[in-house]
Amino acid sequence: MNDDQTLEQALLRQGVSRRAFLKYCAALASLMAMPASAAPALAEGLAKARRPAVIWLSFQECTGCTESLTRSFYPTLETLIFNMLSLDYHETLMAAAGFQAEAAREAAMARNHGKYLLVVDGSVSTGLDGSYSTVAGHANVDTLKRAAQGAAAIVAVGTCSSFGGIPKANPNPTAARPVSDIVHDKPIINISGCPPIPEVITGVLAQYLTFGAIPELDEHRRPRIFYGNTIHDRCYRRPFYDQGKFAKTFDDEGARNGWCLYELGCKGPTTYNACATVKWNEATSFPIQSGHGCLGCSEPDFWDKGSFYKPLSTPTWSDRAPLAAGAVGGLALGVAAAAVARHRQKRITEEQ
Amino acid sequence: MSGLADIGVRIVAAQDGLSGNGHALIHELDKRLERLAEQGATDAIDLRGLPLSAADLQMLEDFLGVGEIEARIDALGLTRVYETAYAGIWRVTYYSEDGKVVADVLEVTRQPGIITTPPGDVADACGRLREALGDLPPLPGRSTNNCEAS
Repeated sequence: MNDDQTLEQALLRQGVSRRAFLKYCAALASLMAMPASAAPALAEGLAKARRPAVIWLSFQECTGCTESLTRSFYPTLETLIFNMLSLDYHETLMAAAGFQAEAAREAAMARNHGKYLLVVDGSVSTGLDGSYSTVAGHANVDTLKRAAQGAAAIVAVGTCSSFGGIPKANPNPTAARPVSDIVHDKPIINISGCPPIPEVITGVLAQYLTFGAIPELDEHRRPRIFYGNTIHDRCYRRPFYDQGKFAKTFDDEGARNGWCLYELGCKGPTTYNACATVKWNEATSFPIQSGHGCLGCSEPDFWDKGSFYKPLSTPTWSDRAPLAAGAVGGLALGVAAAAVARHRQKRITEEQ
Repeated sequence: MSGLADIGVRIVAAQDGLSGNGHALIHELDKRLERLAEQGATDAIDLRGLPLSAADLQMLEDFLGVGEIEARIDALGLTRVYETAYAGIWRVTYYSEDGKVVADVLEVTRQPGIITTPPGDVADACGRLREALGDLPPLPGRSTNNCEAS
């Protein structure tokens, strides 16, 4: 597909019918939690869209975010990069290497100056002038500043680029920073998570493409459609929390009954993400469904918030939405239970 | 290894699995159907965006029943469309190419959009038909099959 074709023209050329396209949009609307009646408008917008150039930079990261992206079920990565975007530079996915790859990036940046979408995964090292992490002889921090100049918007994929993530964890030896600490004059969308849910990555990119605008963001610059609720609010085990039924250890009666994992350190009440609804691996499951508490990986500094297995020490008040009376009752039970659980854990540790 | 069978897992099921949300949804459909009847306003409800249990969905299916029309659309995987026993309420289920549900919608409309022929397709079909017609031998008494020339 050349860059001047609209998405509809390109898909028709590939033998994708208009009905198939409408269907695709219905699925996309469902994924993006838009009203089902919005699908025809989505189809109209997307049909006229021209695919934007995307330059993807990887800094201090583990490639888990790209691994996650390649497992996107709907839209699939193939649909995204062959039909919807022009992925002009991605070190892991592209075939080119060395000087050739760097030249391709420079050319794409020049050709699409002011229009390309810059995607970043990994935190940015700023220690020793950024020399802890370099690609092709350039410090990540310099590459980011240069690439950001011509970008229409920046998408920070993963907790590392959104908030600093694990590289920024104490004692932060490389002086790692999130993208938003380096770039101040461009719109930034954070898609946090370690890694983020694949459908959330592709969904945000598809949404940007459709509407050509930044979606509504929360105070951490995360799209509200995916990060608007806590894991706890949407958790299927939530009724057990409200009833004060908690697993006390990973092998007790409560754990077997599938009760709430709050006392075992679940960070669901303070974590905003879509795991409980979109889920993972083609909507098969998510950590709590597999019997383990949420680690809170989509929140800033999740690595430095104490043990994953200690109950939250602060009340789980949401500062954004008033809780219903029933939930407050459950909350009181939860806080009391957490205090008891912390005491018990301390005793176990001392006995050992 | 002692085997997974030694790990005691007991699944505690809810009594009937009904959350009450299915029932509430039927009230919602009632209002929307009224709007369709009186003002011609169409609407759609995404079933996957609502907290419905398997039992809720089954209850909803049983309640709405099956009407006179069912269609299967083969485009990027299957799409199943049927009108429920309540005319104007359609169930549209979209499947991916490997058979997984990617969207499941109740449409309140006289005709779901996915069934309607897209206008662009009509224009394309017209061109293709004429092209195909050109390959047939001309009708007796006509020198050409070309619509435009006739």
